[in-house]
Amino acid sequence: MRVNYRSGQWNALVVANVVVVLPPQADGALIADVWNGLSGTTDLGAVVDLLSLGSGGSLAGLPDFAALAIDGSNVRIAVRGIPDVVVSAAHGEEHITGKDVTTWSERLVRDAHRVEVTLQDAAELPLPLVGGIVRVGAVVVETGETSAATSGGGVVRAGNAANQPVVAAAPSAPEEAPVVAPVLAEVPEAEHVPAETPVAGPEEVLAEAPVAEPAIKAESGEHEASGSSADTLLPEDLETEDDVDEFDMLWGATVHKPAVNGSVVSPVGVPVAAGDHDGATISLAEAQALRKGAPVASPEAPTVALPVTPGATIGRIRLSTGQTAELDRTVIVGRRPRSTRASGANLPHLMAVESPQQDISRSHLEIRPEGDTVVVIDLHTTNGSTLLRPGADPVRLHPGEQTLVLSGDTVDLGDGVTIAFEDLP
Amino acid sequence: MTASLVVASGAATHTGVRRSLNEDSYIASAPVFLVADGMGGHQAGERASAAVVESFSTLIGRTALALDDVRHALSRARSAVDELSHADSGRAGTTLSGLVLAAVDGMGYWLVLNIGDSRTYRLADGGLEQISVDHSVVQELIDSGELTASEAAHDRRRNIITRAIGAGSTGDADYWMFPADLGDRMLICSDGLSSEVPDHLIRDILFRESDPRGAARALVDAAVRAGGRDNVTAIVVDAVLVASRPGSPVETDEADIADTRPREAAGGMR
Repeated sequence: MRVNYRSGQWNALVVANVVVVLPPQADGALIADVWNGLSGTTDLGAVVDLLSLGSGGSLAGLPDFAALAIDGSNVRIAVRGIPDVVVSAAHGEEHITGKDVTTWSERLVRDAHRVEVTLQDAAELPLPLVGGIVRVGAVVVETGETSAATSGGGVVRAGNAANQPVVAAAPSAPEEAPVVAPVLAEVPEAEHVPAETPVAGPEEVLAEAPVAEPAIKAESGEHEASGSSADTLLPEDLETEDDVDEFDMLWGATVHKPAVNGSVVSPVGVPVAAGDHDGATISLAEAQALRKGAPVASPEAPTVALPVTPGATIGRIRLSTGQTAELDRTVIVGRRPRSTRASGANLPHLMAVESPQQDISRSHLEIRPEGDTVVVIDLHTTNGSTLLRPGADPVRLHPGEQTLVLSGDTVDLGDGVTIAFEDLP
Repeated sequence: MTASLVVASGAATHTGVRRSLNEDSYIASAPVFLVADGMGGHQAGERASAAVVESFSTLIGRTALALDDVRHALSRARSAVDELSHADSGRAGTTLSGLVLAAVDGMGYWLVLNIGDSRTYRLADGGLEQISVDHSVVQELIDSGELTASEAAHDRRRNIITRAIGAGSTGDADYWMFPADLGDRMLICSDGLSSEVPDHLIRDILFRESDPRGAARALVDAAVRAGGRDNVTAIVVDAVLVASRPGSPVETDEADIADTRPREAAGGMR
């Protein structure tokens, strides 16, 4: 199977023999569920099950989609709503759409050599893809079962292993550079969708280049909040009579309405790293896996879904008071530190220190693991914080700005309290 | 371990005048103070809210709780509600809001959590501050500027929540953690109170009734008198002893609630 795509706003989930396309506004949790369920599946029924399960089991909540399951030259196709699928087979072309169908269209096409899924006006340049989640406007799958023409860019041999890595061998021509799939950093945010899928320049494309995999949380049941798009969509009219009765509507029974159509579910206060949408960002867990020479070392190696490792240690801080903390999450140090709205996974660790002179602010310094680095932020304190680095002049931290710290650094909060950084990555 | 935060509390609940069942449940026993507002017909809501409260009851009697204690209890609660839904083939669900007593380096802290549209407020320095942020459609509309708070009070979508325990939701909670001050008064309530009684009247009642039990009763009475269209539950929690300095024992030391002093003013070092 060979896959080429042209960039756009739809989400294409591509694994060994299955391609699923979901709308731009698809909920991050749904994408994560489907992605996690895809590995090892070649059964179209299972894929549709995943989608309906992720949509609360209601037909009205089911998003538009296209799903292809490729078994040799036999292609099973399911289409709902907007996607437009054209299959080129030995006996000619078949056109499959979800138009005029309340559920979805399903078809088995034998002796197919090419399937084109069109979603929207797409970028000119077709790009090869082995696996991952990318933002697409169109997807072309060649089954590889006939010698039919290879169209499009540098074609990458997929092999049969499940979940291929995204970056493959160097291209034959510069304009056909392979791409690094944009990272879905938990949450596809509508307003941050890159206009074009970033293309790594040829000089950056190395076989051993780090693979930016979709960063999808594997943690069971705890998909951290998804989809904080600013353009909140209203859940449309309640789906079924069961959802709410007249009495409830009139007299104020609380009704739970699962968010649909990308309606906001997430806490607004969850910190989102700035500049995280350039398509080259990798998560902390991935960075750590890379350092350990994990599965991404070879482009031919099958990609393994990286477990989220909230407990992973990346150094610690030691206060002059004797208190210590592992930097497995954000730490806030102060006289009376506090944490505003956060999800369970993101609630900072609070450390209180005495300040007889009241030199130190209530929430004074934030220490945040950021990728495989650690940054400190002076929280707009009255008296400031000073970075002491051996062999360098003391530096007063700019309030509210991130400053990278290294092992051996010390930050002085005042009132005799200092924080030393140890065993940072 | 010595307590870093000692509280006095009172709670009251009422079915209201329009409903036949009280689907609210609550737990108000240190260190756990939570209100759960169940939903789903045929007693499913009643069972869901009771199951969630039950999941937290094992924490009663502990001195202070950590985030992980709450997350584990929440995880048990989610499983319990899921089982209910399967058993009844219904869509049982519940909100959950409230606080647990926590500590940071010996200082007394409030750890507030919320899922859905029950609420946790803090009365401090004369003002009533809503700590929790509703997981509701109207809250999203307010956040996005499409609706004002006063419009929201009458919006017909005000009862639609976007997150719950059960009912097909992930049930992830939002958390807030901040130091307790001596004299803090916390209010936890179901929407049967906050949708019937405006915030300024809630504030007045909390001011007027010094006893937490009396305050909880007065709030519930006010909601019932205002229409009582929904079940109504209120818990009032007063901080009566707070350790507010790292490592200090519980005592009424109020010195450290002052603002940070500039070094110059403090005759400091640099």
